[in-house]
Amino acid sequence: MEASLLISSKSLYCRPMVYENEEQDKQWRALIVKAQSGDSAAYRELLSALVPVIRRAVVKSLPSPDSADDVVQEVLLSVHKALHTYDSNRPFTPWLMAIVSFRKTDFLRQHYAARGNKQVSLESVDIPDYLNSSDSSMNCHDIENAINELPKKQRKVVELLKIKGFSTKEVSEQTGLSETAVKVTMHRALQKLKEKLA
Amino acid sequence: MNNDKIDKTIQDLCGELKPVCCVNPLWRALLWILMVVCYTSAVAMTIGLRENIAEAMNREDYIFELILAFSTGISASLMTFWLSIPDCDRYKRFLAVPLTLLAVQIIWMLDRLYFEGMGSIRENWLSHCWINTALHTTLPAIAVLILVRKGATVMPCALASYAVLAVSEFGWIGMRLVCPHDNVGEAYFLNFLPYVIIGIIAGFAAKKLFRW
Repeated sequence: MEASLLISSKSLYCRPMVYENEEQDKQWRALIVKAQSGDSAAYRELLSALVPVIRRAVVKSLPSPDSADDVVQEVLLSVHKALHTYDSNRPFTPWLMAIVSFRKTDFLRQHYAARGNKQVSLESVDIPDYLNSSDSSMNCHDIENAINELPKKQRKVVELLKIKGFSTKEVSEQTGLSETAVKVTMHRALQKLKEKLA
Repeated sequence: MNNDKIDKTIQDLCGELKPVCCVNPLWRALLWILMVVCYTSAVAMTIGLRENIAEAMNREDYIFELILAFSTGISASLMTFWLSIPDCDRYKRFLAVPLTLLAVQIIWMLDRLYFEGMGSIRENWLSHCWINTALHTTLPAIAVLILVRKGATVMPCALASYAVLAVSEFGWIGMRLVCPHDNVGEAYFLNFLPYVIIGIIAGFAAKKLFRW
């Protein structure tokens, strides 16, 4: 029992997600060791094998799939620059993933910093007129009708909490319910509204 | 997906490939520590050890302060060089060691401040302390910058903090060897103040300094 706990805590510490394919890691390790000694064929094989892995690792967290190629390129360049820091006695994947994560964060930081330049003035934004649009007003009526169909207690809590914007404490004082009861009532009301509007 | 661009990059990188030698960060750390210990001793001897060094060496509190600073310096140096490689996750468990030692040092300083007070601060500290401080730290700081930049850090801010801590501790030990005043005002505030300022500046410049 103790031994199994020890093993599980050790594997948790070692982040098992990076060891999902030990065979592959061994293969990459052999290739990078050859690359460190100047074998360009092994290096080409390694980099080509890494491209889909890096792309898969970064694509989900990037704002658009098109930017994945830029990050992949950055990571490849970084792998090249950091080639001498790889210790052949250690697994390869954590080393690679640390670089991938670093470059991805770098890219995202630059991307979101550049968003400041993409701001537009409020006048130039085309905001749809929800009040006069027939579709939108229909939706509003649906919501109003759904709220009106709620039991009196739930309707009052929804009105005070969500429409008039009172806090839970204030609603609790106005309705005489406890704060927990207000939250529970609100939760039930939202469930009912969800069912009705679905 | 632009595979041609990536293929071209791979081709270029393979063309540029040269045999590389993998250097353990521990060796770099030991090299730096050895260099700093020699340098600090040499600077202290050149400036001249404090006149009451023999008396100070018999005091337990003085020895304790030196040992504490030395331990903090050593652990911060090791952390600095361990953080200079991408695969530094395995060393993260040691991150707390220099910080804990630094906390002990701060508590010790506050304890002394409470019981002994600030003490007198020399009038000519501007012309004396700063030159010695600069002498003690400039070369170690340049050396750590060069050696760390040979690595490839993925934690530049943490690395910069530990580097500043390591340089500060060794510099401070040097100052304690040459400065005859042991009161809190001199030993901690005046001798530490330049390092704190340098540390803040280095913190802001960390990402640029350790960019790779």
